[in-house]
Amino acid sequence: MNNPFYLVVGFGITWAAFVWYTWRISRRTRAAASELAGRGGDTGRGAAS
Amino acid sequence: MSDLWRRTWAILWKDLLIELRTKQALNAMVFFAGLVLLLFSFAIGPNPDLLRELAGGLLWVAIVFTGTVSLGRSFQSEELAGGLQLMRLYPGERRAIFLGKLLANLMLLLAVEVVLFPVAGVLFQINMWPNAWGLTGIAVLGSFGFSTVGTFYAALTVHLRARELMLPLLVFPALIPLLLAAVNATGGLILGDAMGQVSGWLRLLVAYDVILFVVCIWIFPIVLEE
Amino acid sequence: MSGGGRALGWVAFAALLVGSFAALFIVPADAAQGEVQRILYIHVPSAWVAMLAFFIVFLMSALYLVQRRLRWDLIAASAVEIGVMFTGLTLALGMLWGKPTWGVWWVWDPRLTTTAILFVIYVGYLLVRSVSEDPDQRARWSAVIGIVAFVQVPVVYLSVFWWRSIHQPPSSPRSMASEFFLVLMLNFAAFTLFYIYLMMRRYRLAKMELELELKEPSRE
Repeated sequence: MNNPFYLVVGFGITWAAFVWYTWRISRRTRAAASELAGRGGDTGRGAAS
Repeated sequence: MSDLWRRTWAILWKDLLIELRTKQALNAMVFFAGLVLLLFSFAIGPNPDLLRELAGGLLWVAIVFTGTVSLGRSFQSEELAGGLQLMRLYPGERRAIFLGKLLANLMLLLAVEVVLFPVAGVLFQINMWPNAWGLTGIAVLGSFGFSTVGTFYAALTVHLRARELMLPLLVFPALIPLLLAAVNATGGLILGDAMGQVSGWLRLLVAYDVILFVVCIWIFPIVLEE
Repeated sequence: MSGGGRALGWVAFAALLVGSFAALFIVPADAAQGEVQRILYIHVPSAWVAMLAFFIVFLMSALYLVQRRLRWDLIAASAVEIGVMFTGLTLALGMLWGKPTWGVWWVWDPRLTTTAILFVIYVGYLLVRSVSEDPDQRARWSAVIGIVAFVQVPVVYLSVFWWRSIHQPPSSPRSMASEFFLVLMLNFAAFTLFYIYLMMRRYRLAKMELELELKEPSRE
């Protein structure tokens, strides 16, 4: 009942999940932002038929 | 309203005629259901008491599997012939399509169960006849709920990639309350348990059927939009 | 948006920190359940956030079907993703609380079982989105599923509850003494703030990814 394992794992994975998910959103946001910036220049120009 | 029924009837009749003409699908379904029961029996082992106790559960899992496998075909014949497009253009109610398909699936499933229940009786050494009416009622209510949810998701997944996987994936969780109610009601009747429990499960079954039917038929027109 | 959003992020983060710290070190251990009971201070708020998220999915799905604006679909999708994460967390924490309390990793407790079913249902929502290619179709199907899924929730819970009450007396309700209420409320607030922050960030990402999708030259 007082085994610290469960508390450590419980709070551990909670914080791990929070940090990981926040970071994941950040990473994808940055990727999307740079791709949008890169694409912004050439839509409507030459490329597509 | 009578317009709705007329169109429903037309679709139902069309689908049933297709099935009856070949009887392929129906035979395959019956065979498949029996096979599932057999497989479960082998998996569980030749313990008659255990099998009798689990009979309700095994029956309904076989029904759900059989129903799900045949649901995939529910809209397939239209889709292949381009019929789904035509049906959508038809100025009538799309809800008639839902109702017609639902009833067609229901009839097929009930036809399978007419054979399946006696087969289960033989395999699991259960005398079903004393409870024939009760079991019929449960079968009808359970199959109706299944057909409601199944037809709904079948229409939704007909255009999806990996449709064969997506359909069971969406349908199975939705069926859990139905499964619980049907299995416990069936098992309760078969094993001669306190009647009080069975009626409670029946009420849950009816509530499930009503709620899901109302929601599904109300939302269905959106599923068919293009 | 970023300025206010970032501030909220830090506030939420701080609140979560304080909440966890309080749950672990300030609140006295439960007399009956021992130290493990502390997990409930994050397990219960986690479940609450998941339910809140799925309710928002329901609202956004209905809104989309009425107005047909993709914005509602994006909010719904964000809410599902976050909701699924919190549902998974609820399950994991529930199991971590259950093992030392009941001796086994899993019991067919009505609330835990319903949570597991919800997890599967909403993962299904995400899977349907992932195999849809047209944003409008995807939004439509998602909205339909979002509504039907939420309608199922009370039916599922009732049936599982009934099922369990027949076969076994219901497991101990997780009641708490009133002195501990404050820490629980603190964590509720922290989790809710964090949820709002995540929603804002996730929605912004969804908007950007939709914009990218619509710019695809292959969409002919």
